[in-house]
Amino acid sequence: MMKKKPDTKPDTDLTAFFDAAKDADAQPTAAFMEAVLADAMNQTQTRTQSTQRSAPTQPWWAGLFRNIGGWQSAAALTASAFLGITAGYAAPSALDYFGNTQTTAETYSDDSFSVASDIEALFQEG
Amino acid sequence: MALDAMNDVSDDALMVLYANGDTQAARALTYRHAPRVLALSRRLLQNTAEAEDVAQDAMLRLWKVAPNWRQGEAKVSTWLYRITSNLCIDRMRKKKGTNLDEIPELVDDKPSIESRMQSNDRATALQAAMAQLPARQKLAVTLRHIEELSNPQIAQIMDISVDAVESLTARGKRTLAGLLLGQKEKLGLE
Repeated sequence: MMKKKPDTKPDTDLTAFFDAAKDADAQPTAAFMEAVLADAMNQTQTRTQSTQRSAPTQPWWAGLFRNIGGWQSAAALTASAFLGITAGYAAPSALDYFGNTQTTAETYSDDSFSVASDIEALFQEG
Repeated sequence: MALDAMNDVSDDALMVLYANGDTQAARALTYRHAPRVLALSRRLLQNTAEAEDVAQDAMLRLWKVAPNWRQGEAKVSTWLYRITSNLCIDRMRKKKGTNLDEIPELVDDKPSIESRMQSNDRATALQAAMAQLPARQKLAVTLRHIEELSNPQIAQIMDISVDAVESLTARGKRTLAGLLLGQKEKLGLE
């Protein structure tokens, strides 16, 4: 008959030792806790200072400039505004081009819409 | 906000508050985690001064990572245990074996009665036996049987599989049993 292997229970056997180790936990000293807290405060201070250094206060127009899309957009906007103002102040003589064209009224004279005359002509031609 | 009012605030929320400069959040995180970090490093290093050094370093890393802390990804306690374990293992490997005579006896400030003395003796005996274990076995046994963490938690901290944790703790306990069970009578356990 085979001998049964002894059933070792290290968990149970060592429990008293582990419990003793838990009981032996010494509380952290006040000096240690203060040192940890001081590190936390120093980190906050360091972070605040570096944030201030990396982000200097900008004038109001810098934000506006960025919001409209940078220098390309600003240049296009300025050019459009300039052209608009120029067109508004320019002498009417400069707009002769429009004087030489037919007005809408001339283009669409009464005759153009006269369907009756067209039909009359059709009958005459057979 | 008073410190008591922070008791119900989650670690993740405290990290956000601290990152935004809330000193009470820093205090709450310190009182919640620093003692556990110190206890673990003290068990692993068996030297109070060194343990305080490591625990302070681990907490400093927590303060530094706070602004980039990703909520819900890792538990603060698990993250701290991992950092502390790595720092301790580095130091243990540098020391390369401690002379048993160098292990300080655990000092208890409370009035000494017989049972407290026995408990102290057992803790000292365990500490001496633990010093014989390889670093990772010692860490696994400490996390499992003294810090009482679950195997999956330990696996996360040590960055190994649950099977590997079980194997490490089993081997560690076998060695400890061999070293300690012969002293049971002397330590009032029989």
